[in-house]
Amino acid sequence: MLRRNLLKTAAASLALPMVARAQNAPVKIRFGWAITPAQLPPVIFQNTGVLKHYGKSYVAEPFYFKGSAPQITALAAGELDIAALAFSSFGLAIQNAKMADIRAIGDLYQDGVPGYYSSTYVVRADSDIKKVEDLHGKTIASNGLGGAIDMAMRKMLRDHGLEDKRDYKVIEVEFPNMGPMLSEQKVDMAGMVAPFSLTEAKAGRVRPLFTIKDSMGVAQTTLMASRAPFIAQNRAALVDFFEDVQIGTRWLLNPANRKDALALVARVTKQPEEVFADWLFTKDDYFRDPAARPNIAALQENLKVQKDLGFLKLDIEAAKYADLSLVDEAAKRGG
Amino acid sequence: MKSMSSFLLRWSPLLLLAVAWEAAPRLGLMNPQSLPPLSTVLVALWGLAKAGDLVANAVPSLLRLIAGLSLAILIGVPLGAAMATFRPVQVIFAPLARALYPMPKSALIPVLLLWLGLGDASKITLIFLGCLLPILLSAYNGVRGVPPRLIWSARGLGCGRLTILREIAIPAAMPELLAGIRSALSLSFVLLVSSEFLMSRDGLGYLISFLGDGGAYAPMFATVIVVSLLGFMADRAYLAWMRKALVWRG
Repeated sequence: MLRRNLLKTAAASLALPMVARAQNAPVKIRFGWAITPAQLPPVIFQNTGVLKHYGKSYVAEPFYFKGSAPQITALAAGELDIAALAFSSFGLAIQNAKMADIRAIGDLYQDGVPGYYSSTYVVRADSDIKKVEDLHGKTIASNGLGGAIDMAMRKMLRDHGLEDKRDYKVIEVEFPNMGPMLSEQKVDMAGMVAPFSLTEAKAGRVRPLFTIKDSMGVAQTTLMASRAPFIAQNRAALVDFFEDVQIGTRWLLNPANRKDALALVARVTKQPEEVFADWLFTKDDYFRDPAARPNIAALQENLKVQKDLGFLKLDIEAAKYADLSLVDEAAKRGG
Repeated sequence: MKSMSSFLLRWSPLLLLAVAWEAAPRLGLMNPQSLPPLSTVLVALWGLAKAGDLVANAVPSLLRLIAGLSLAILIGVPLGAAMATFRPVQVIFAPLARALYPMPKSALIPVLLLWLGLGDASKITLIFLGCLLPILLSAYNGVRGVPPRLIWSARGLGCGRLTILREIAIPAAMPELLAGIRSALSLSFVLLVSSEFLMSRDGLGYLISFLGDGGAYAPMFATVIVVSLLGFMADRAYLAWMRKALVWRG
């Protein structure tokens, strides 16, 4: 009996520190990303020296995904804690993946915010296309059917009486290939993002026809989404995570850090600094909220456009699927 | 002198390809944005190597490939041989193998993610599944193709089924079996890139995918060259070993 009690006490004394360690261990936050530096977290978490809580209350584990769609699967399977979703994928996650507990919790970048870059629909510099109506019978390059760029293009053309298949043809082309496709006259217009539209315009090869802003105003292009149970279980760690995202974003956007910021981005993307020097973190770049607060009003409008175009069946109330308490609480601390 | 000229003749298509690659974007026949000249790609290759990116991504990739391919060999060879030898095993597995053979394995990636998660398990499983069938079918066909007189002679000498399988059938099936493993080896590089292409934290497929998405085509092509070189070297090494192993054939 005495021996059994001794054994129990010994086991408990050995186990207690392990339990305590497990309780104090940083929360692992697995986040998805698809394109950087447009989405900053992969860069921010390579700059942990400026962060306050990284490695203490949480650690962030980045996962690269080819686009938003596979992140819906990963989020649904519980394999990802924060997904980087385009607004179009956010709506589909609610409708198709039936994720009623999905929440928009943070901003990644917004398109069409006054004074900032807006994705641009360009034609060849020598093209005879001068106005939207001239696209009748033409071929248009879109990065992905049903994506933000694609929807804004369709809305603009519909507003001018043009419909897909009947009046124009859409083909899928990846952003880096759009410039060459235009030059080789394989397409007549391409919906391009930064830096590709800027590079093409600078070289004098293209001319803008319209922007996302002209078509649908501000777009909450990509946002951070998580699920309510994960948020409830890890609230404190997530607030710390967002405080660090805010610190990291402000550090990158601060002109005083520009040289180091460009070097960091070059290291993460494995591209030369010159690729980013002209536009990144300037007014020629997308808007990123320094407090990482998503624009829910814009998201609501974007989801409405998605439904009007037939890419979404449900009426989704964006505010019902948003939880801004994490970014707001983090912002109150002031970093 | 003769061996030198035969070496040059043998590899001249590759040399011609390299010259064409360098010339096409420089002469404006191809857009240099979508196909950077080979010299630019080689500079990018040096940059990736110097920064440690190649080693950091090639090591996890190769470990996944070795794990997936080894599993496929360990399971595929005995299962294929058993299918050829024991009728009930054949009845169960042969229709499955034939039905699954043409299925595009990369289509399984999202499902494997759901089942096995984002880590190595889903990638290794994809490589395993893709490599299993060529190995299994080569073992099956190889053992089935063993001359019956060898089997009869062994039976006449009192050998049991397992002894015949181990001592007669598998050695006799080696040429076909090793050829099947060689096909699987090439396939494993394709599957490796596919498995890391859609979602990953590291690996050569991950590097190709995210560099391509960012329009960084020079380092992207550099990584493609590395994958091709690794595949080529693995094939050459395997072929050399295979020739040694089959030296008894004369």
